[in-house]
Amino acid sequence: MSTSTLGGLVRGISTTLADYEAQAARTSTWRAIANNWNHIADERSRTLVCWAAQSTSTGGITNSKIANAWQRLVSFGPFPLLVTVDGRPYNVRLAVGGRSTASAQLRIGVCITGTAETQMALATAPSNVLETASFNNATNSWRVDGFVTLDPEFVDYAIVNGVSSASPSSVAAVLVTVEVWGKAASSSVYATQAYAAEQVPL
Amino acid sequence: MTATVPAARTVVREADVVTGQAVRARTWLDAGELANWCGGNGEVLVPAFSPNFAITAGSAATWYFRVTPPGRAVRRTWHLWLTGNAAVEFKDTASATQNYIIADSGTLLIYREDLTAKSAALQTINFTLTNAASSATVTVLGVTCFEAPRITLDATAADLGVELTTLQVREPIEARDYSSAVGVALALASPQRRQYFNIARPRTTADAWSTQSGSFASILIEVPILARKLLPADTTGNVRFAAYVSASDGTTSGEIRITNNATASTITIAATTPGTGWSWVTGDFSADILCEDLTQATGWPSGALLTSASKTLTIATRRSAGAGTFYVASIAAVEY
Repeated sequence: MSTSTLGGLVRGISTTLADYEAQAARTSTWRAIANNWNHIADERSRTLVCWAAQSTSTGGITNSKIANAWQRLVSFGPFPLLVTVDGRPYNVRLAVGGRSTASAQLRIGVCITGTAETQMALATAPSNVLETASFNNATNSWRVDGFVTLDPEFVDYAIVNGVSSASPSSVAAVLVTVEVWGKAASSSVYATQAYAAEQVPL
Repeated sequence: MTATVPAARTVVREADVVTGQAVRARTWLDAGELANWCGGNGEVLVPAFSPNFAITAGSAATWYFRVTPPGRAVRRTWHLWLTGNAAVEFKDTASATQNYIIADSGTLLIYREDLTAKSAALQTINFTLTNAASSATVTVLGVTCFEAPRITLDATAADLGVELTTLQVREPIEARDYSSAVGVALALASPQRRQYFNIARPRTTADAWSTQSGSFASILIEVPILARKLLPADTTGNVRFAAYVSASDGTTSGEIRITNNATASTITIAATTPGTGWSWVTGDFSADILCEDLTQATGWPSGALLTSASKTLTIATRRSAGAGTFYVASIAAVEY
């Protein structure tokens, strides 16, 4: 949900110093500045994963290692998620798709680093994982979409704060991987597309 | 300098700003912290995608991406998900290199590219992955690149960091750059833009998308896209597309057609005799791509991607003139 009053930017706010020097402060201007920062922060969210199918019936990553058990097909990240005012990460909207030559399922999840092997393979998908209905269809297509919320778990994330590797430091970050897993008879399910993007919570 | 970037965002209490009433210092401190938070968190330059590309022993592959960074980052972080029993070398845009050992079970390659200057310029970034001669084939399953966050911003035109100590209780309200409430207003000039996707194949004629057909054939199908919402009444946003193109000779031309499946609108980007070198061609889709709906938990207008009017793009190419082959190595989409 928008944290700004207007749900969008107010145009016409000067970013020139001379327009503020020795000028009376106008309530409408300063309300607009507050509104604009809230909206910019709402829309600061980023596209984390955008992987599209390249044909209707070929391509993709298959489950060649094990049959009829959840298997990692691909992992993206880890990404440091944006964090809301209450300390929780921004929600992540997700979608995953693919094709199969036998009854199959796909999962896409957002996992705190180091937890994917457990959470993605659970018999029942936890709240941070979306699972498709069982499908047997040879056409690459989006199979499930939605959004997930995460509990905050901060780690120290190494950064530099100056050019040319200057000022090494660290920030507190919620680091997650976006995981795509599949389950079917061996080499019969293909993940061909995935999408993940941050979204300011309602 | 204490233009600190907080770990969590704040929310400015707009209701505190009322005619005839003093505004608490805390209100503008929240605004200063929020400005620094927006400026200090980096953009995802290459949203993750899967090339699913195999590099045999002794071979190399280079991917190119088109980006317009916000201009405050000092480090880019590349993450690749690889499989194969292999020794590989990663080379960045500036030709710095680092070596890695990859396992068959899957290995996350993390490469930190520290920049020598901040830049908000439109630019091409790339990486080359070389597989050692003694290795097994290595497969590139995932690629992403994002800007690492900052912990403090500078009081410069590039960063527009807001000195938070000048927003403390009992501090005077000043009209100065990077300070006080006016610094919060001036920081609105800091660029914010979203990279929607950056999907590439290795830049060789053997590996890039190629066509000799005069009819459009899809190269990317149902690409999800959701523009940043700017003005209160906006339902669409502006997106600029770029394609990295080449041809097998000097007389062949091609076109890239982008179809917005939500509206059936299309744009066609012409690449007129690009020649055998590689160059970027661009086209703008203005006020047609759906933008986020902040009343929906998912952000998708009407609540879901998988609705009857799919909120996706289809990208197709064809040869428009000449007798040779038309190539596309990379497609990028960014807000403008």
